[in-house]
Amino acid sequence: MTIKLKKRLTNLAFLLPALLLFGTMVVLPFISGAKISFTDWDGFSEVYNFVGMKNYLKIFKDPTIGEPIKNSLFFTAVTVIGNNLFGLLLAMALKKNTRVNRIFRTFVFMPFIISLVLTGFIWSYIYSDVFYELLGIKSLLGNKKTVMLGICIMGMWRDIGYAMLIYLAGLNAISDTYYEAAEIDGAGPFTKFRYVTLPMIAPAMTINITLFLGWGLKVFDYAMTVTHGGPGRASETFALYVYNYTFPYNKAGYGQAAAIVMMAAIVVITGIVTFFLRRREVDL
Amino acid sequence: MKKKMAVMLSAAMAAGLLGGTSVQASEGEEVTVTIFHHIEEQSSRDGMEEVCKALEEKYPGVKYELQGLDNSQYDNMLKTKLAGGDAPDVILGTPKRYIELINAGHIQDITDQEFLKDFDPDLIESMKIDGKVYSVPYSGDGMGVFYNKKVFEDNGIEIPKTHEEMMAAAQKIQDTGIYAFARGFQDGWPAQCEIQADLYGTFLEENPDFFEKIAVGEKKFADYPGFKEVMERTAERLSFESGDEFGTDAAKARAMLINGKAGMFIGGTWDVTEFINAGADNEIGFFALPGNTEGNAVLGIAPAGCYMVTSASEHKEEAIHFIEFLTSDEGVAIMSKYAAFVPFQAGDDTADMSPLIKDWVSIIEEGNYYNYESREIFVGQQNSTFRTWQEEFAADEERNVDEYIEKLDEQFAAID
Repeated sequence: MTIKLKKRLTNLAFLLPALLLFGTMVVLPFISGAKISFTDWDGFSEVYNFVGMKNYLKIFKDPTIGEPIKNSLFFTAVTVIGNNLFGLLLAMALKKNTRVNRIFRTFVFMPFIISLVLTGFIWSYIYSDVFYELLGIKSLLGNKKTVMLGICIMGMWRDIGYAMLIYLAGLNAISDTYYEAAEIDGAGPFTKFRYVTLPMIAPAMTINITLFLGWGLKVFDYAMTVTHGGPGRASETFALYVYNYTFPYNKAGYGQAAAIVMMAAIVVITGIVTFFLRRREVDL
Repeated sequence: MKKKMAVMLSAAMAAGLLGGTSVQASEGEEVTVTIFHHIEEQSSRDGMEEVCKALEEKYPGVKYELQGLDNSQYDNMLKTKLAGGDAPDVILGTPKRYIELINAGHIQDITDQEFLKDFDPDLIESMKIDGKVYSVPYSGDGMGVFYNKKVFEDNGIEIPKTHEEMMAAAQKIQDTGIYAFARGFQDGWPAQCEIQADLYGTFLEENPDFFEKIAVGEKKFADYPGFKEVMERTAERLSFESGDEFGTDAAKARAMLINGKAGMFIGGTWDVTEFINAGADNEIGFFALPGNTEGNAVLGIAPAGCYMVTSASEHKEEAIHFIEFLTSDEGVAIMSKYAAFVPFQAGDDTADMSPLIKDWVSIIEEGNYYNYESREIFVGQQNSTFRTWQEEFAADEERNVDEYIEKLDEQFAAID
């Protein structure tokens, strides 16, 4: 056995478990879901019929699809902007490696460790018990107009720590010589930020923005566990729409078609955004 | 040496992962009947355990295994299990609610069973789909008004028999500085009780084919003036303030009623056990929601505690024994030891009953009830849409009844 072949086989052996897992957990269900999306299966019957593109056409004609799309986009916009803005600000504020800063950074990052479901539970109690008792504000989750905002706050509380971490890494990679050179040229703090910091953290921004974009468009856990899409359908995100059709409404075929459309939309949106962000990146 | 250790340890870890799988008892003739349910109260689950033990003594060689899940996941898991070929032998569910599973051929009919003769023929009729019987109940589910007896006494309020009387009572209670109604809508679905406690009574009794006609598109919600009246009464009830409704959960709402911070609470049979467990069943009473102007409130009650046998079951006979035993006098006696429940039909023995349950039973004994699952009900997307609409109605402070009914008809028209 040549060394090259041995190396190849070793690499393959390490990849194999992950590949198998990915294959069975992601690829197989995806293929089977794609097949189901062309039928009228209700999720439990033994028989179902092939209906071609009917499900896909119905998606574009469904009047109730506007709200879930709007909710997902609202959540994505607020969290992408919010997480990045606050993550960057916190990263810049806590950049120095002092003990106090390190403690603060830990506190900011801790919420990220809890699961999404637990975050939802904690916040639903904060909204119901703390907000009303202390501030007299009725739970944000109980009102059609404020429920998505309530969910955004939950998401940001959890994810800002993560954004901050990535930005910290990005900021620390900027060599001080750039700042010194800028100061010599007479740059003030804002100019330094605009012409040194921003361009140099472009890779960190790409990571953060694309990540939160993907997470935001796929948001499901908060809507499902905390509000069940309520009140009414005010917090129904697109992922919850897919779930509703696949399970409680007994229209698995249509639900799968919606899932595939959702996947295509996410790929397109994140693809476009990543393309433009990548162009901004400075080659160090 | 180190390498060998590493390989052995990893192999041991991998083997340890396999330890989680169960080994099937393939020796002997022991038969296992799996019972899939979504009962959440621990006391009821304990009762079921004893029922199974008693059954195992009666039929040696048969094991009855309970598999419990929480309410929200039950339907999805059930469908997944049926579709995946892992069907349980017995499932908890009423025929009308799971009519789609029955029509898909997943449920075994028990029409020719001997023990069905002990039941009221009208009840058996309501358990039929297309002339075949699929289950029998041992308890009833319903919704109505729980009230704090002291609050009523102190303010000289009599149990309201009409909607007007109820609104007057609510106003009187509110004027004393406490909430007229306690509401715990945090989980979303309790908000549906506000509408259903009214809808399932007099209105459904007078319009028994309401769900059927709308489901097939023959009629619309706007075609029923009685439905508009139900929604108008609900809007009036909801107009009484009760704090942060969607930020309060059911347990807190019940506590508000018990502590006298509210006068009334619209809830269901599931709240009865909670009141009894809180030791408040002498202070809390129950009356049916007045849904008419005649003065006799009709309580909507539906069969509950219904179990059905799946057609994929390999032990159908043993599975049917479970249903037979549970609904027999012996089974009912065991269950009532553990958790209080409202019987579906008036029995004879009311001596040991909690006063709160007596309130329910006396309504049934007087015949002022209507089985709201005696005819077809909404299923699937229509069911979800109607329920979501109810929650939206309760959440909206403005609640224009006409606009809402129009919106509901539009949403139904969009479902195909």
